[in-house]
Amino acid sequence: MKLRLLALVSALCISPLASSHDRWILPSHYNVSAESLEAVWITSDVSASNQVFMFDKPVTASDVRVYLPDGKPSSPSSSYTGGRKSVFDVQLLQDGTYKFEKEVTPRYFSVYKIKGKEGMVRSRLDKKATAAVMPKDAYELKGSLNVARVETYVTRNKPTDKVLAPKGEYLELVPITHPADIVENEPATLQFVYDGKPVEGVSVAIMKDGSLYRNKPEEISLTSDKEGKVAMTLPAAGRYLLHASIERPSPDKSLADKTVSEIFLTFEAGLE
Amino acid sequence: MRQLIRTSAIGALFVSSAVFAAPKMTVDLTLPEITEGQYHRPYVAVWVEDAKGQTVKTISLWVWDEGHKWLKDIRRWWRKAGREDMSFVDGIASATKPAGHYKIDWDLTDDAGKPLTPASYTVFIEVVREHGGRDLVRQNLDLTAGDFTAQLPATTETGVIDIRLSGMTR
Repeated sequence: MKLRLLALVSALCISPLASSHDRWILPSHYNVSAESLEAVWITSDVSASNQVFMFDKPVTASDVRVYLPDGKPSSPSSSYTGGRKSVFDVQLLQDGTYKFEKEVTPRYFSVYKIKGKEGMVRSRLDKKATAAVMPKDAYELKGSLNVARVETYVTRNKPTDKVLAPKGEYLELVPITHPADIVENEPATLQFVYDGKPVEGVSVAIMKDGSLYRNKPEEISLTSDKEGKVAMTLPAAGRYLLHASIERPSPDKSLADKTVSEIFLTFEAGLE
Repeated sequence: MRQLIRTSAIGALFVSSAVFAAPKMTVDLTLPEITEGQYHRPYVAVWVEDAKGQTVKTISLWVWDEGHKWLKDIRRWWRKAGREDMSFVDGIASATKPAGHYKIDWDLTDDAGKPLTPASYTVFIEVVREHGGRDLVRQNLDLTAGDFTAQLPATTETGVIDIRLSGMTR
């Protein structure tokens, strides 16, 4: 009992978002073949859940951006927001690799305690703003800046590299093995960069589709090396959700103690 | 007696053709009769990869002729060869074939028509059927080791496959 309580407390300390759900974009197809003038529809689901790819929480698809193989940003052709999931459609007209991502907006998040009351009080403001509005007897004010990338790659015909390049802000994932070339039983390498530079110590968890139907999560846990790289060989073809995260001290301590940067990448491992 | 003469004549013919034949590989491929479920003619790709897994030659590609939508489902061939160049795909593709026995010859040249350098290669045969299964079979092919015959056991989507390399040793 004591142990369980301790685990809960430490989980809360890791990140105010540690208890939050995985968010993800799940496209209908990752690799498609098409004749030159043919348009290919891709439909994608967007949701948040604790079980991999179960539609659970409403997450909007209206802020999804589509990066075309030539690098230009675009928007979905249409989108729908529902109670447990959202859907967006994209027409692929160019050959090459597309990136779908939810808009990245860093957000402050603060917590504090009040004397004589149980639990933490949450605030969607930075530390300074929270301090100004919280009661006088509040204590243990802590704040973080949270940045989450929710992304996936889709390829029409021959894969291209333009959309794989990092932008140079916060934590980013650079697929060294192209997403269209991730195959069961073959080694694949991913690299993590922070503000554009390789970053060591990123915690990476990779989970296969269908965790609802397994007794154990069977999560693959990895940590990025000095070059920011992780190597993996996936034992089975299928759809996977990757969650990467790293915490760093915030540059401005008056606003947040730390910056928590996360990535949720959906990808497929192809058949051998 | 007549029978004997005929047999030895055929034998002589066989020997002489083996001596003077240009090097080639022959794949004897059987597509089995499948009566269970909905039957569609399979997509078939036969190709060769080098020791690094780079494709050097697509020997055969049998696909449905309407559109390229299904090419991706010949998964390994698509990843290794197909997606690189669609005009190349149009140049080599031919129609799907019904269950039966097929002989596929290859003159050991690459996609550009140049003879392969003697080294180790792998022949792949991928058979994919809509509403059906997929089988990927492979056979190592060492061009430095002379003639050989190999028999690959039947799978759900392929019958027994005989692969013969001939004309290498003289």
